[in-house]
Amino acid sequence: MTIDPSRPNSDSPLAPSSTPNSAQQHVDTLADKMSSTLSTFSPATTGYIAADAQQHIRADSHADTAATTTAAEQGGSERDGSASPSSTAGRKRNFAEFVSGSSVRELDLLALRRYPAFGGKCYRHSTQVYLAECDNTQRQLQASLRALPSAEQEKISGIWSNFASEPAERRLLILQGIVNPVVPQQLRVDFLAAAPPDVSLKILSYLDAQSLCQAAQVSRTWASLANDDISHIDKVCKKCGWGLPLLDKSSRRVYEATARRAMRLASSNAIDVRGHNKALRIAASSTNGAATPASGKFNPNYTFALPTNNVAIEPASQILSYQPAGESSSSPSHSDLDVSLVSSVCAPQNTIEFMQGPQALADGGSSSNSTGSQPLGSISRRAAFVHEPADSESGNVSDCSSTNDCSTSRSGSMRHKRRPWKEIFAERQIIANNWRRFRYQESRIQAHTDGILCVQFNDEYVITGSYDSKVRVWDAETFEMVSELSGHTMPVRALEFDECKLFSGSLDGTVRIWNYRDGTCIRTLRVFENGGVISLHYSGGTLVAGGENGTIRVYNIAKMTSFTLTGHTDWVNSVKLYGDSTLFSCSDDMLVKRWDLDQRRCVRTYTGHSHHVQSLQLSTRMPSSLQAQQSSMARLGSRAPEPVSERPFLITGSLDSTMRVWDIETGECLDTIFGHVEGIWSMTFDSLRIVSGSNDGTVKIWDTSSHACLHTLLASAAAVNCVAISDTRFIIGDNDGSVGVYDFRDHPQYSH
Amino acid sequence: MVKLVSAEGAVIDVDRDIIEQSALIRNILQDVGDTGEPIPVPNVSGPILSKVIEYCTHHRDEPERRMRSDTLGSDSDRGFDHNFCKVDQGTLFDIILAANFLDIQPLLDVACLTVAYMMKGKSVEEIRSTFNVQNDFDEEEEAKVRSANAWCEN
Repeated sequence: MTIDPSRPNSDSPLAPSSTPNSAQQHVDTLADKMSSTLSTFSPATTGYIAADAQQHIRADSHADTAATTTAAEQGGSERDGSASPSSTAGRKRNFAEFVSGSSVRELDLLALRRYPAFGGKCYRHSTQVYLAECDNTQRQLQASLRALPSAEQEKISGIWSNFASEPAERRLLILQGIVNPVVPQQLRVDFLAAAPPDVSLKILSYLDAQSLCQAAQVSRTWASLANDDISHIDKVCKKCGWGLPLLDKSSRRVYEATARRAMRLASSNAIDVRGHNKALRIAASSTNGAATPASGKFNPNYTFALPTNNVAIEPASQILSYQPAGESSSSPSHSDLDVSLVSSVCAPQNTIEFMQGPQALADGGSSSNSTGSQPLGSISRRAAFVHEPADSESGNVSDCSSTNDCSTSRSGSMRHKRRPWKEIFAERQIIANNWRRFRYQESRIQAHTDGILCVQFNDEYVITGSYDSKVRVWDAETFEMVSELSGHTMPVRALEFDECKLFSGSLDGTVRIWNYRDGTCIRTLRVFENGGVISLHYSGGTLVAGGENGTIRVYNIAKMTSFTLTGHTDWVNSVKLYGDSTLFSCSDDMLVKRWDLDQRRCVRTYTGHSHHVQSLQLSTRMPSSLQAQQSSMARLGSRAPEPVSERPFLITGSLDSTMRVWDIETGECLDTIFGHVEGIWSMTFDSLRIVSGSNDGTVKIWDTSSHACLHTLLASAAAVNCVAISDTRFIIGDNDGSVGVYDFRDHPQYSH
Repeated sequence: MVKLVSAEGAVIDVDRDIIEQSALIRNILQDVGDTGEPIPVPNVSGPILSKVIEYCTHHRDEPERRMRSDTLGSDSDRGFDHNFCKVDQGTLFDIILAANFLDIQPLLDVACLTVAYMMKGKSVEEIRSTFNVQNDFDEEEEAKVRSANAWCEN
C-alpha cells in the first residue's frame, strides 16, 4: 500500500483536526510527560532513559512529518503496511503495532530505514520491552484521547503543550500539582471523623488552643470534637500548658454574678439582685459573730475567734476552712497544719473557697437551694479541696479544672453552668494580649489626702494605708469606699489582709487587726516600744513585723506567742515568710537576710545593694511544679515558654535604682536589673511580670523570666510609693495620695 | 512464642514478652494462659500487625514504659518513634486503630501525637486538604464558627 503524499493530514479519520505541527507538539508533550513521569519514579538512570525515549518519540514524529511531505522518503516505506499512516498519531500507533510483532533484526532494519539521522543505532527501538511498554501507554492514551470530542482533545493537547513548554524542573512541580490533589485523595484519612471518638479526643488533646480553634472550623464533626469541654477543659488546658495568666477571682465572680442573675430571673424571684447582694454583704459583715447560718448562706459571714474573742466555732466550718489565695502567686499553698491554724483563728461559717466554682455561689443565691444542709456542703467542698493541691501544681496554668471537679462533685443538676473551655481560654488570651500590647484601662482614685504608703488588693477590695494614719477599704470594681479604719496615730506603713481580717502596721509601733468589712478594730498589738512597724507579712497563722529599730518580731497568732529577731541595724522595709520556718527580710542597712525561725537566727546575708533595700518578693513556686509545667509546655511547643529559673529566687528592689535577683538557696546574685533612673520604692512580681515603682513617678513592667523591661509608664507626678499586681491589673499608690488602677481586662461581656 | 492471626488469616509468631506490651494480648494470656493456640486479631491486617510488632520489638526492653505526654521518652526513642510514624496517613490510621484495639498505650500516644503535629499550626483550609475533610458548614454556620474562634488569631 502506498501513501499519497499529497493527501493532507486533516483527512485522517483518526485525528481530524491535527495539523502536522500540532501533532508534532502533541507527541512532544507526550514524550515530555512520559519523561517526567519516569523521572519521578527513579533516579539518574531512568532520567537518561526517559530523555532517550523522549528523543525517539520526537524523532519518530519528525520523521512522520517529513513523510507527509517527502515522497522520496515514503517511497521506501512499503513495509509500513498500516491502514492510515498519514496521521502522526495513527502512524505512531501503527508503527508500534507493527514493531511489536517484528523480530529484533527486522526492527533494527526498520529503524535504520526510518531513522537515518540516528543511523538506526537506536537503543530504545531495538528493545522490545520498552516498545511494548511504550506502545501500551501510548495506545491507551491515544485511544482515550480519540474517544473525546475534538474540542476536548484540543484542550487536553493544549495542556500538554503548555506543560511541554516549561523547563524540566517546573514540569515536576506542575506534575506534582496535578497529581497530588487527585491521586493521594484516597490516601488521606479524615482521622477525627474516622477514628473512635476517644482516639479523636486524644489526638486533639495534644493541640494547643489556637490549633484547636482552627480544628473547630474544619467541619461539623471536627467542631463537635474540638469544642468538647470535658476533654479540653480538664485535660488540654493543663496538659499542654497554655501558659496564660491565671485569672483572679473577680472575673469568675462577674461570671458567677451573671449566672446567678440569670438564674434569679429564671426563677422569677422578684428581688433586686444587686441591691440585695450589696445589702446582704453589709448586713452579713455587721452581724459579726452573731450571724445565724441562714443569713450566712448568701454571702460569707465571718466569725472571729481570736483567743480573746469567745465565739463558738461551727464544727462544720472547722472541717474545712480554706484560706483563699487572694494573691495567688505570692502566697504559698497551705499545708493541712496551716489550715487548721487559720481555722482556729478565723473560721468563716460559710467558707468561700477559692475554687468554689460558679454553682456554689449560685447555690447561695437561689432560694430554692438554700435549704441544702451544711454538712453536705462541707463534704462536697472537702472533696473539692482534695482536688485543689493537684491543681495548684500547675501554677499559673489553669484553675478551671478544679472548678469543674468541684461542679462534678456537687449535684449533677448544676453541671450545665460549666463554662465552655473556649470562653475561659478566650478571656485569658484577651488579657494576655492586653498585657502584651499594654492596653489597659486606667482609673484614678484620690484615696487619701496624704501620700499612700501601702496598697494591697484582691478581687473584692483595694486597701490603702497612708501618711494620714488611716486605712481605707475600697471596692475593687467600683472604687467606692467600703470603710475607713481609723485608730492608728502615725502613718500606716504596712498592710496584710485575707478574706476575713486585715493587719495594719503603723509607725506608732502597733499592729491592728481589723474586720475591714465593717471597719471595727478587733485587736491591737503593741509590737515595738521603740519605733514603728515598717513591714508586715502574714502567712499560715504567723505574723511577722519588721521594725524601725531594725528588729523583727514574729507572732504565732493562734497562741499569741512571739519572739524577736535581731540583726538588721536600720529600718526593716520588708519581711516575707518562706515555707514554715524561713523568713527573708530587707533593710535600710542595704542587706537582705534569711532567718531560720526554728533556730531564731540569721542564716544567710545577701549583700550587693548600694542603698536602702525597700522591697523584697519571693518566687513561691516550687521547682518541681515548674519543671513539670515546663516539660509539658515544651511538648508541642505550644507556647514556647521562656526559660524560667527552676530554682526558687527572690527579687529585691532598692533605692540604688536596681533590682537584684537572688538564688534563695545559695545566696548568689543571679542578675541585677537596671532600668530605673531613680530609686525603686516598691517592687512586686508574679510568675509572669515584675512591676516596679520609682521615685520619679515611673512604673516599669518587666518580664519575670528574662528580666527584660516590657513597658514603662509615667504613672504619677509624685514618687510611686507602692505597687501591687494581680493577673489582670496592677495598682500603684503615689506620694500625693492618689491610687492608680491599671486594668488589663476587656469589658466583660458574657452571653450567659 | 505467641501466635497471632491477622485479619487475613496469616499467622504471625511473636515473642511473648514483645506482644505483652499489648494490654489486650497480655490480658488474654493471663486469663486463658499460654495454650499455644493462635490468638485471632481480626481487626488488624497482617502488614499493620507486623508494623506493630516492629514497634513492640524495638521497645521490648522497656517494660511498663508509659509514653505519657509529658515524658516523651528519651531522644533516641523519640527518633525511632518519630520515624516509625513517618508513614502514609492510611497506614498511620491503621496503626492508631490497631494500637487502640490492642491497647498499646505508648504506640497510641505517639501515633496520635503525630496526627496532632499534622494539624498543628495549620489553617482551616490546610487542615481540610491535609485530611481530605469536606466542609459541611453552610455559610451562616461557617461565619458563626469563624467569629467564635476569631479571638485566637490575634
